Amino acid sequence: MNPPGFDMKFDGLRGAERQAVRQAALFAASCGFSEERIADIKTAVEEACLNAIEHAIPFSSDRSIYAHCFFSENVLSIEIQSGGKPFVIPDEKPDIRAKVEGREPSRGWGLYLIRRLADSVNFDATLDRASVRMKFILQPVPKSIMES
Amino acid sequence: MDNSLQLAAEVNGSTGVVRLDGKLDAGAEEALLTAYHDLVHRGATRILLRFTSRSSLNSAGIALLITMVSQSRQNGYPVGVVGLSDHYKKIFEMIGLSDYVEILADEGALKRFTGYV
Repeated sequence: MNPPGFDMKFDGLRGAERQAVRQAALFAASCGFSEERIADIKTAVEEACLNAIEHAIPFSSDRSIYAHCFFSENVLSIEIQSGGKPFVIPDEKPDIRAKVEGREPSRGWGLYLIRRLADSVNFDATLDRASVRMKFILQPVPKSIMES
Repeated sequence: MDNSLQLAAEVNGSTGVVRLDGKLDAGAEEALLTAYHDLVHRGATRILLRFTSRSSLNSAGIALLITMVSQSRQNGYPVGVVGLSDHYKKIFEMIGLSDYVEILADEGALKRFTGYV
């Protein structure tokens, strides 16, 4: 039986996100996710934490990040929450050509990566809280692989 | 486990090789861009980024690569990458960076890019 999940709180400092990434990866592995999906989960969690560290926490008196993770009905849900002002959520894919040509800053990929790597994502921001809720669906292992 | 970036740069023929071992993130900006300019100063006219099995990068590291690629394109110098994991190959394709750097999948591709090996 899989563990139900975990909650953790850590300092909103650059580098501290590694704790959440490591914990989420271990938990995803225990749920049965493939190495490929665990790599996706690690990247998405890291980017959600970095987004909080860079864009939310500097505007908050609460300098902590809260990670909430649970697995139910083949869905891994991970929420990264922090204090701070709402961040801008771009609708469109960043323009790599404009960035390579120097017409736009080269940064600005984090939220796009989260959107692409998670099966679903919900950004939620109030006046003083910001959160990213991501879901990753555990795909059943094909029978042919199970039998080989 | 410490995964801080170990960066080494050398010129082989006309190829500037940057070995990136560890985490490429915002903290690597000065090291990477200094290495690039040093390689160009030493005569490199193409840049090879060599990733290792310990390599990883986040969105800030991706932005650094874009900055370096941007500068290299202005100089007319192509950029190739070798040793990327499947995960990061996917991300390069996802963001479109694979349109601006050559992902070298095997020794043959590496040889064609560098002209040596």
